[in-house]
Amino acid sequence: MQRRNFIEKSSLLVGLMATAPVLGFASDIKNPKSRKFIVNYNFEIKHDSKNFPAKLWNPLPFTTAYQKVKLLRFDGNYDNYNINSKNDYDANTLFAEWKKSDKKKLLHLQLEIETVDRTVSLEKIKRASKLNLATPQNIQIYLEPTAHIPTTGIIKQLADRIIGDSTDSFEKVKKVYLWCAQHTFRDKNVIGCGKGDVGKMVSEKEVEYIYKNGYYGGKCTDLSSLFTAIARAAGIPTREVFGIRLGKSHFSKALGKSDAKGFATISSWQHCRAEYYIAGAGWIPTDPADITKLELVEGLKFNDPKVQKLLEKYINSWEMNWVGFNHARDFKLFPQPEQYPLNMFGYPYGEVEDNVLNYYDPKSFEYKITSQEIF
Amino acid sequence: MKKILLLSLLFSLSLQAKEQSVTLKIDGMTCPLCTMAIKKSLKSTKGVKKIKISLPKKRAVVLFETTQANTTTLINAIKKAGYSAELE
Repeated sequence: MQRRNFIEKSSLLVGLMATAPVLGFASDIKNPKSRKFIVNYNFEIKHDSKNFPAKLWNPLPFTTAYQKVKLLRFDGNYDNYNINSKNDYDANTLFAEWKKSDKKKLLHLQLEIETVDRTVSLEKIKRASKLNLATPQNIQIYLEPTAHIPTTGIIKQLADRIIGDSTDSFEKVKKVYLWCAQHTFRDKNVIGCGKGDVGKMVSEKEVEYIYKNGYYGGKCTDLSSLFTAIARAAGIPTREVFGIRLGKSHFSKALGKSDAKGFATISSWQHCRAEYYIAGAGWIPTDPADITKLELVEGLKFNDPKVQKLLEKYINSWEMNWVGFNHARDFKLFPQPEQYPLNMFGYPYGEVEDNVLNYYDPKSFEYKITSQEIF
Repeated sequence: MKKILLLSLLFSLSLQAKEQSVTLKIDGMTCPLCTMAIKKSLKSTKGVKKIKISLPKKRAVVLFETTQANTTTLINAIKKAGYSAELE
């Protein structure tokens, strides 16, 4: 055990992660009510053989105006570890490594997270959008394609068809958001959050057919990635935000739940959202995938008033019964794994030599994540 | 004694001849879990002894028994997992 080292390192991490503004500053809601969650990760790495080495990379939340890591502690019997954000997207990572042995490979991570609901006011967005300001240099990466987010070819044609003659950025976003909400559905047969492989999702060639009849199934990474690809192709900096639901939604059980005491087992509650950028207003939260989840879980049609209410709400806000980890797509973790690039980092990632542990299956990996809301 | 040595040499040569290692170039792998799916499919192929897959190199090195598998069966196993492959 290396408890002393961990405590020292934990303090450092909290220092690193708490450099963002005080909670609530970025929300346009006056005096937003905060929520607190204690999140526990328990790992016991599994493999076919008894005597094996292992490496684990676990995503850690970022700290910003609407979410704050107030405490982070971890413990285990690993031989080596580090905390880093040494990757193209500055994704916070807890890395642990076990040398080849027959001992159990254990790690416990505890986080105390405080969140506030996040909204950017429509007035602010519209005002900024009219100014048509240039996209800052450091944001331009979110206009670029990645292996899973194409922005040329049929996606570019589709983006052009959807936005029509709109020149205002927010008008373009609204059109893309509405099209995605109307032309996608949640496919419960997709494993985990989905791969988010837009090139494979949109395989037809005829843009007019796709525009009118395209109907794409997937889970949150798939649907957020489709929104991201089309919005980027329309010239709007956009990104997925990978994270995990922490507890009860006040809008619908479909969007998060817990028991009467605020406890939930959240091992498979990873959820991908999206953000788009309008210069002068900054990053704006959205969640096209949760529209389809509400429809599926509650058995509602698109025109149902509850779906329409969420549609209106989620073009510029997030309910924060969730915490975000990073915006990383198709990138290399640090230290460099055997297998790369990683297509997204919302789940723990583990390897035993060149073997990838199935992060979609917590029981075979093995990990368990729980959350306790503090009232 | 000479006979025994000769037989044992022949036996060991025939054992060696039964195993072959090939490198396959794989198309369509886009994430680490793709390697897992391919490995699973190859493992269930009769005669496959050892597999090493590299996502960055888009390659698989497969050791197999020539009496039970061949390059075509390996390529078909990779196809079954949803990817395409060819002998390098």
